[in-house]
Amino acid sequence: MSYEHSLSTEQTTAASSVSPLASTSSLITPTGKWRLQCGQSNFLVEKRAVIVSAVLLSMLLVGILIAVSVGSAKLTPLSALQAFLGDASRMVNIMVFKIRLPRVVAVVVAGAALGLSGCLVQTLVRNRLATPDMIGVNEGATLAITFFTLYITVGAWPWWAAPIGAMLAAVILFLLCKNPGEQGYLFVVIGIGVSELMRAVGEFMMSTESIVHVSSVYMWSMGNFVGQGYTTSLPVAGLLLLLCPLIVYFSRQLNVLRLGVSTAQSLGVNVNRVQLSILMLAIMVAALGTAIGGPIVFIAMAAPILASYCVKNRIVPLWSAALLGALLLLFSDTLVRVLADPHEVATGIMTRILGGIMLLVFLLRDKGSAD
Amino acid sequence: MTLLTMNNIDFSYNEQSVFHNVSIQLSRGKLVGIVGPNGGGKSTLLKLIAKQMEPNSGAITLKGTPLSRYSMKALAKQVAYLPQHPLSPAGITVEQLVQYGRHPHQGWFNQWNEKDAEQVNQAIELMQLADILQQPVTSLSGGQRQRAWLAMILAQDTDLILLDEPTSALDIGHQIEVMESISHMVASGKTVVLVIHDLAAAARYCDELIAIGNNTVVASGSVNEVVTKTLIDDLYDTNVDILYAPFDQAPVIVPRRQVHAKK
Repeated sequence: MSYEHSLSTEQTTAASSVSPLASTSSLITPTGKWRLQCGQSNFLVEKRAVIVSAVLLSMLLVGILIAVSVGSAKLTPLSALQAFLGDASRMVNIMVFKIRLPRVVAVVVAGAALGLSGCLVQTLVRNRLATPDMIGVNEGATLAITFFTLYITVGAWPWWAAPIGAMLAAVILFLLCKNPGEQGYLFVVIGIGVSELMRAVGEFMMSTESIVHVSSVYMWSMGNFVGQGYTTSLPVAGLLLLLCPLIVYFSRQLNVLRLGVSTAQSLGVNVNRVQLSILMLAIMVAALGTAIGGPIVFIAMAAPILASYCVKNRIVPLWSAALLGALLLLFSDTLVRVLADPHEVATGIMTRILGGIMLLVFLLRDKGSAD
Repeated sequence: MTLLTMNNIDFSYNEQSVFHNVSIQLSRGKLVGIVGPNGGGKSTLLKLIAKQMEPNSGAITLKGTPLSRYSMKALAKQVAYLPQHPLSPAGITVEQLVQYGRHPHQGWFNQWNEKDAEQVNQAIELMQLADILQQPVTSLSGGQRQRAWLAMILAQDTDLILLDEPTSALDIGHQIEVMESISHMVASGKTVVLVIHDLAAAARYCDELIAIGNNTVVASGSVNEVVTKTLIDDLYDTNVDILYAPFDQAPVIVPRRQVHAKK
């Protein structure tokens, strides 16, 4: 059989598009999945995840239209849509593309990064509280950016320093808790300690400088998207897209890791390697997300929980979590713009409020059950 | 025919010796029970074979090749291991769980083929899961849940299956349900090694027993060779009577009471 395959692919490439497996029709596909056959390769796709992602994507697009319409100078979503279709007045174009869209893009990229990284870490540590903002990764990134802005790159925004600080936090965390897959709760508690430490050091640095000098860093460190241009969000988005293939590659093993370290290992997963790789990826993604708008809480925890609920826990909902992260942060940011108008209030404060409520609900509901 | 040999295995954990000079041989198509007191290293023995732990010295050979030469994925096609307390993630259905067993045979560009469908269906049939296929694993009874896990192990399509106390948390009804399922696996050609505390069930179902105590293999062989009064008394530090079941003469171990109540 395999001999025949190699022959046909050598002779003509067109032959590979015709399915060589005659018995494919008798193949039973797993419930709730689509099977895609492409030449010799075949893939399984979770139907529910595809549908949820499609719905979330359309909601996000509508959300973006609404977000660019809302503000001190009102636009209708329709005129915003016209601007996107290249059919609007110069005023509207400036309003949409120069003033509002940069902030919206920054919010969407940051939110997606936070949602995705939250989903990765929660699944890995097997604990819903284990998100990059809880375990000190975001605060580590913040510390590094604060340090670089104040002492090294004065003037330019050192977004690329974020992964350095995040890695530093992760290394400290790993030295204190070596087995995140089996000691989830300990990992979270130690992480909260590391997080506080990082924040305190960053605030100490800021307090030694004059207020005029640090005001922009300080605003940013509260989670803020005011005056965001494309200078940070576009390179960050590019890097995130580069990381995506790696995340896709590890997503199969991540799904198996849900069965626990021991079982995953006996199913042929190289657990140590996979855990470390996924954690590194998650830290990179979280750090990049933080670099744009500062350490934003709530998104990384809420988005994966809601996404899991939407796909009924059938798979690890990485992409739905990313889309939901973008959607939630866009909602928080737009809400804060509307409520605080004409003042500028940090978006991080709004997510902190929403996150605080959600964390309490989550902890109180979970008080009785162990899982 | 020999499937696996362990030769002079030494293993210590946290600088405490767990095994000293352990050697065993597993032949194909047998149901082998590992018995012995708590903390004697029975689970460790399975983990060493499953390569979840590495011995300090000695050699483990599977089908003539040293275990260290197998990658995790290659080993997962030969050996399946079910831990004592496997984790069932919320929301996962029986069907999905069984499909996970195919993971070592799949790759990014080969996620589901005829062989996968066939093996999963066979496993579902043999473990009699057709009626509860779409139920969440977390909602099942102890016996059903264990059968679902066994089906996952079966779908993995390995020659050797290692089960760590698959019946320990179950009442006798569910225990028999699981032991019967395991017998089906052996009848279909698998070699099964299981850690088991219930000596009566071990004596009834196993072809061979390996008794582990004092950091080493105390005895191994057929049920009647291993289950003797001297050996059991020595192994568990007890004083037992061995009776024989009327139905099949399987030995039944009944410990004598040591302290007598006042009359």
